[in-house]
Amino acid sequence: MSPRQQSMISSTNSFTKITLAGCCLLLCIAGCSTSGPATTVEKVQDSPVIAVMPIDNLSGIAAPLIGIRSEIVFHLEKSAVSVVPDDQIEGFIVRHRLRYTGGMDNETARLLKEEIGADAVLFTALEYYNGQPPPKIALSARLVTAGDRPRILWMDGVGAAGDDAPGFLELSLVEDPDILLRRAIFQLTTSLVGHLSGQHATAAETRRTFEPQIVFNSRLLLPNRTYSVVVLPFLNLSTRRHAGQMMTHHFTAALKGLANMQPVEPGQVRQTLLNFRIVMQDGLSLADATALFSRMNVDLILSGRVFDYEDYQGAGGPAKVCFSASLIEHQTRESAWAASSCRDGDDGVVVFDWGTIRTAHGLAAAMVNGAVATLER
Amino acid sequence: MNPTSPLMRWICCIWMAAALLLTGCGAKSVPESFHDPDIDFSALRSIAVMPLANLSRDQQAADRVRDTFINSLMSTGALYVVPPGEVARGIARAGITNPSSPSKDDVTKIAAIVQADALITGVVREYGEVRSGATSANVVSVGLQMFESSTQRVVWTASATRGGISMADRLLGGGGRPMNDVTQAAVNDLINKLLY
Repeated sequence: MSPRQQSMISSTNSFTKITLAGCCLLLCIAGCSTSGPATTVEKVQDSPVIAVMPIDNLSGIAAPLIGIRSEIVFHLEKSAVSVVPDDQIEGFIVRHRLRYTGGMDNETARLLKEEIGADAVLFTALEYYNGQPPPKIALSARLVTAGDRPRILWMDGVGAAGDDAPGFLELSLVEDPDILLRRAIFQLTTSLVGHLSGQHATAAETRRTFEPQIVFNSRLLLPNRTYSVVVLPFLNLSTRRHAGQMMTHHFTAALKGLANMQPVEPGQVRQTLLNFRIVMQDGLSLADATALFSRMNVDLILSGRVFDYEDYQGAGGPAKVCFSASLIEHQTRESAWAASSCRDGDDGVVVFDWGTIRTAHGLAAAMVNGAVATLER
Repeated sequence: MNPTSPLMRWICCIWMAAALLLTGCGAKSVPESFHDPDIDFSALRSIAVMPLANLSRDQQAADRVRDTFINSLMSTGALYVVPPGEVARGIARAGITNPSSPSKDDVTKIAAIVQADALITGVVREYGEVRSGATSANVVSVGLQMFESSTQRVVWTASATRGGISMADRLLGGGGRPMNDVTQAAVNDLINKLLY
């Protein structure tokens, strides 16, 4: 072999190595940005019997609700969670003419335990569903004990957009809403299964928080005391339907995460408001607060207003959320805490779109977590 | 020296210009707030903020500004603000038809119902985007006044305008500051005029 041929072979090998290294690097970069679900399935020991209620559609548009519920049941059963058969739940709903499946009052909780033997009930709300590319989906769910006094055991939510992590050359861009939906459901059920297994996992991979712009803290709340809290539906001044209810879910989930706060099941709150015919036209009055304190036997009432709850439409952009909330204390009947927060999804983003929150659900969760964190200070 | 000579004319012109400049420097700006000197503001503990009148195109402008003002005022810790829901109940019970500009009787009635030492009313004059040529920016303009409950007199008034098109906006573009930041700045300005 001539020196020239040896040199050619050597240069060809080098070129191949460089090409391979480049390909590996590209694959690594693309792989790093993917957010696909892990494939390991955790098994739950001594699972409670869970009744999975039909999905509460807050998105305001037609969505594959039956498919979402089936996927949730599939994931739970795969993790060895005992789920009440569908026909029993349907029979219960028909028998008791249950029209609201977004929560339950004391009576429904008792009947669910007695009649179908459920230990806990899973309520899931579809907050947003947009199949147009890039698709966007927002889900929230909570597990509530059945029986005499319903108690929230776990609550979490997930907001996902197809362009959350587009990756290098948009190789990881998700354009199929079904794929995104499956990923969101997987994240949510993984969080639930983790809770049932004794872990404290959350659906969101990173829990960002946004500090509220305005905070009032009266120091009426004692750090070493446990408080029961009623979270009222927020007054909705935004253009988004059901935004008030969504903010209620966010605050309930965030308060559930604090050690000294025990939020009341929203279904109970709803039933009490209906029973007392309390209509809050411009926020909670002290007369209504007095009635709720006496009827529900709680320490705090949280109410508020939501001004913006917007997901962007079309190819790209940030989400936008603006709300204010206040907490009224039982003994003094005064505001113990208040906060206002208005943010865009690209707040704090410095370079390109890195860190942009694409869904209003994700942004609201981060803002509410930031607001609720000020309660502990 | 001949008074009509060109040198004398120049000297006269320079003196006149200097005099005009000095006059301009000494001009006093119009105050944007009024405090009643006979009132002890530290005696006011609880206030109610009435719904603001809205003269802007944004239908929610009054609610947004009022909400920011209430929480900002409470966050100072200087005053307790009656919750907006309680104020709404008070307005309904007192039968006030125009809560943004109440009469003396209305002030007495609602202050007694919500147990407030003072009432704040006001108007949002501008809220939103302003344009000048190809440049745009956000602007907010708010005026407030405080009635003392016992005397029904106006004891404080102030106005604030923030945002608008700056030289930097004209040169660099960018659309100005976000609406929330502008609103917060205007509200902070009003609170400074009230408390400090």
